Amino acid sequence: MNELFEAIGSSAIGDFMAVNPYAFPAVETLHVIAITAVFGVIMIVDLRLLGLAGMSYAVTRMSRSLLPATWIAFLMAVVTGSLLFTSQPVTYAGNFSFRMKLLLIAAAGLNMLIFHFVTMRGIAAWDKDAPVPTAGRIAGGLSLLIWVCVVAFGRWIGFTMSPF
Amino acid sequence: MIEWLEGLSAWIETTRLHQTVQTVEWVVPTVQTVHLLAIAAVFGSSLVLALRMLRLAGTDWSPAQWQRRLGGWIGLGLVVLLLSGSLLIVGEPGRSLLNFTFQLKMGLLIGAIIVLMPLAGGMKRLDRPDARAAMSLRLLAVLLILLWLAIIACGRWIAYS
Repeated sequence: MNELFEAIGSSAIGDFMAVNPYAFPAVETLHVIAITAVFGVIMIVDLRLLGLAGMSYAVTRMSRSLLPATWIAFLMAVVTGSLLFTSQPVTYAGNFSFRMKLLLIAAAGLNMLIFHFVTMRGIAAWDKDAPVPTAGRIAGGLSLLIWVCVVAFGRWIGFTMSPF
Repeated sequence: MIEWLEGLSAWIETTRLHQTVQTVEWVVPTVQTVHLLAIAAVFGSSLVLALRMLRLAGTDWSPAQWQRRLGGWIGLGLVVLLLSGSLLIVGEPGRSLLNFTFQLKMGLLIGAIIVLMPLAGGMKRLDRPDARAAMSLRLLAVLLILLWLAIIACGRWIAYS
């Protein structure tokens, strides 16, 4: 695995990200824009699932309407995050906060899949103007908690390793 | 103005709070995380308002309904940004107050708040889901997003100056 990371680090992209003085801050800025867009929009859906706001907007309609923009932003976060990773792959791979962040993003994906394929089966009964069942509220609460931790660990990466 | 900021910066450096923010290791990353979460609330909500004004998302609700749902949320986010941002300034007054990127960021922030007010007012009047927003309101919505993008970029750039 380490050989692969070293190869990434010494590739043309990895070299550019590590050496060019503007590359890292510029890509990091795009990464911040992408992740705040992802979390900001997901928060609106999560609060709806928790039954705290927006009850007159059907859950299915809200997620179908807001998720495309969220996916575009998520894709941008993945691309920019990968570019940041190439600047110091070996160090990132060994960083605790970085590993936690990746694990938590996987957990957020799993939470979403469970909600989509299990909890949403009976959604016709509570899609709009109705109390959200416990499973739905757990999905919303978990998502909120996981994304807060993703942002926190992301910030901690910057404090536990030097960018250059 | 610059002299006043220099005086303020020098005074902040003599305070106990400045010492605490500087020396307690977890304070800065924690406050920055809160700052980022508040940016997410404000920027994400603005994005949804703008997408709604352009009829690209959220069309089940009227602009007025979206404004009622997210207006207060954006306001709360701005308060959290102001408080967490102030604490970050206390930690490093010289690198923020006297920094051009920071001053530009504050100017853009005032611009965003000025844009937000007529946008919210205009959305309040569009209370039918099929109501069409005037071109000027749609332009304000797009301008708001551009301002947030510039503000976020300035914020990240302060760390490198």
